[in-house]
Order: sequence, then C-alpha cells, then structure tokens
Amino acid sequence: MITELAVFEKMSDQVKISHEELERDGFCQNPFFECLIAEVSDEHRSKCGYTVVGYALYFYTYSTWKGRTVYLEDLYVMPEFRGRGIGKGLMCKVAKVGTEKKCVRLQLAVLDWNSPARDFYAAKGAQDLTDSEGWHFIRFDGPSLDNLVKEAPKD
Amino acid sequence: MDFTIRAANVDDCKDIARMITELAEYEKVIDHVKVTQRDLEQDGFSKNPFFHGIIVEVPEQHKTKEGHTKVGYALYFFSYSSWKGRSVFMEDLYVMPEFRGKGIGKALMSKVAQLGMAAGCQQLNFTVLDWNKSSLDFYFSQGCTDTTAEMGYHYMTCALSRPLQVRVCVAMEQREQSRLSSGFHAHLDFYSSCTRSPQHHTSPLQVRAVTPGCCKGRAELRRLSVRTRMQQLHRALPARPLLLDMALPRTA
Repeated sequence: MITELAVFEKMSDQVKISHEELERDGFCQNPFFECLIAEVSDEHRSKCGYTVVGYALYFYTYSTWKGRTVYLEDLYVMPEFRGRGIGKGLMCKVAKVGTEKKCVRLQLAVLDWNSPARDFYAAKGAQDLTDSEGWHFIRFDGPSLDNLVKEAPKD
Repeated sequence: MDFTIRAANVDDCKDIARMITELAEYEKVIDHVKVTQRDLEQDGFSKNPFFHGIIVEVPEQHKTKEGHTKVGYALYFFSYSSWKGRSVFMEDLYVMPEFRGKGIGKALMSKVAQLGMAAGCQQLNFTVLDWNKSSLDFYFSQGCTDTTAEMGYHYMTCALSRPLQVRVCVAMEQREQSRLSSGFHAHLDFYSSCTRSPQHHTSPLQVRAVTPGCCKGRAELRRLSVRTRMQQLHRALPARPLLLDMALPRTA
C-alpha cells in the first residue's frame, strides 16, 4: 500500500525501503513508528483478494512550543474502499491514540496539488501552516547529508 | 572561539527553556510557547523520551554578560519515512546572537546529522519560516532541498486539545438553601485528562446533569475562576443533590 500511495503521489521511484525495513523498524524494542490497519471481512475483499485495505503510519514527535505531538506520516485507503469513512476512522483513531499519550497536536504533510486530501484535512479542522505562517520543509539526504556528517565536531 | 558540544541532560532544561523562549522571540511567536522547564524534564529525560538534545557550552571566560555558558542547543527526535526509512527531525537549532558567525550552528547541525546517521537514518528534516532569509541561506549553502518549494509539500496541523473535565457534586440540604445567594458548598472530585500545558480556551461553561447522587468527597478549590463560575452557576441549581459534569475552559 506504501507503493500504491507513492504511485498516487507520482513519486513511485522515491520508495527505497521494503517490508524488511518495516518489520525491523516498526516492531523492534524502540520502534520508529506505529501503524493502524483497516481490514474488511472476507466477503468484502478487494478484486485482487486483499482484506487489508487501508493503513495509517504515525510516530511521536515534539514541539518545543506546544509539547507532545503525533505525526501522521501516511494515511491511505485503497481506491475501491474510499468514500465509506475508513480514512476518517483511521485518522481519528490516530488522534485518539495520540491524546492517550497526552499529545496536543497531530501534524502531517500534504502535497499542494492533492485537493481531495487537502479538503479532507481542512474539513477535520487542519490548519495549513505553510500557507498561514510560511513554514517550509527542508531536507538533507544522500550526498548533502554525507557532507554534513563529515563536518561534525569530534567528541 | 573554543566551544564544546555534548548531549543534554535534565539539568540543562532550565537553559534550554530559556533559549526556546529566545528562539520564539526571534521567530516572532513568543505567545505560542506553552512548554515549560518541567515539561522538558519529563518529556525529554524519562524512560521513552519524546526528544533528544545537544548543548553548546563555552568556557567561563567567554560567558555572556548574564553569566550563561550554555549558549546554543539543538533538539531532535527520530522519525520515519515510509519511502526512505529511518529519519531524524531537527526541531530546534539555536545559537545566542552574540555567539553567531563562529561555526557553532553548523557544528550543531552536523552533530545532529552524525547522531542520526549513527542510528541508521537516511534523512535529516526540519522546517524553516519562509521569511527567515539568513537561516534559509545558511541551510542552502549546506546543500539542502526545500521540499515545500520543489515538491509542493505543505505542513498541516490539527489541535488535539480536550476540554478540562470537572465533576462537581453539589449537596444542598434544606438548611443550606438559604445560603445559596451568599455562597455555596461544592465538593469537587476533580479529574482531568488535559495535558500539562493546557491551552487557553474561551468556550462558555457547559453544564450537563448526569445522575442524582451525594457528595463524593472534598477537593481543594485552587482556582479562583472555577470558584467564580461556580458562584454564577449556583443560582441555576435545582434544590436537590446533583452530580454535574462540566466542560470548563482550560484557564479555569
């Protein structure tokens, strides 16, 4: 489903990890993420025979202004199962899990052209901090990350 | 200038809180800061910390005019990309103004990158305000990518605040009714699942009768605005014991 989501976001070439990394990183002693799965009963399985039809992948972060935060990295429902409240159910469950951990915010990123997703999140009360406050996401990876590491001071 | 970078410990939280405030003033959002020194101590230095920190210290002879030797920090945590795997997110990077231009900021960021890579991370991510040209220039000079400008990612947030819940049991025996106009007795069984840093709300007081009942116990009324609101409420109370669930503004 991660691959299906990447195809939808027109960046399928960006996916570099496999189920092996997910198994290692999500189910170790100090997991890097948690995940919720949406399942349907066997009689409602997809055309290809899947009963796991959606997921939400999230982890805990921190805001030095507001405190504990939960970050929704992925929210995905297979196309044939959309429009039935599954996406909303997944997102609300993540929010509930977050509040049980005393998180005060749920954050995520959405692509500017993804109007259905933007409308969905706006309807849930999400605020677009890029539009309203000018926040930009910055990334170092690959060679730029390697160069940065080389300049780290010695211990 | 001689400086050292080391992992932050719980005793650094006072200086980290100070510098968080300075950074928020620089970013023109000082009223957004709700996290306290105590929050940092609990959230960063417990069994499953929400963040990690590194601190910059200068020798005593270079301390600030206020006497501070802790002059910069970076706060980070591990995150995950479902495409790239383990990642590190740098929440804050700050150097006090009089110590800038000496390579301290770059050293801090590089150290976060190094710690991330040692943990198997493939990306270092963070956010920056679009008007913060000096920071943007610094980051671009180090070879970063602006995924908002180049790929169209927008940063979204939803508040998860919950109203403060106060259960009030008001026992009004016959002889007490005559005292309603001048005062009241309230036995509070105070329960709340609010965070340690409640946000201010201005929602009106909502009262919903739950069940008839008797007093649960006594709790100390510490907050004057709760008392004030109770005084407003007592005029509307029926003359029988009631257990009330009230959603109160967080400033109550």
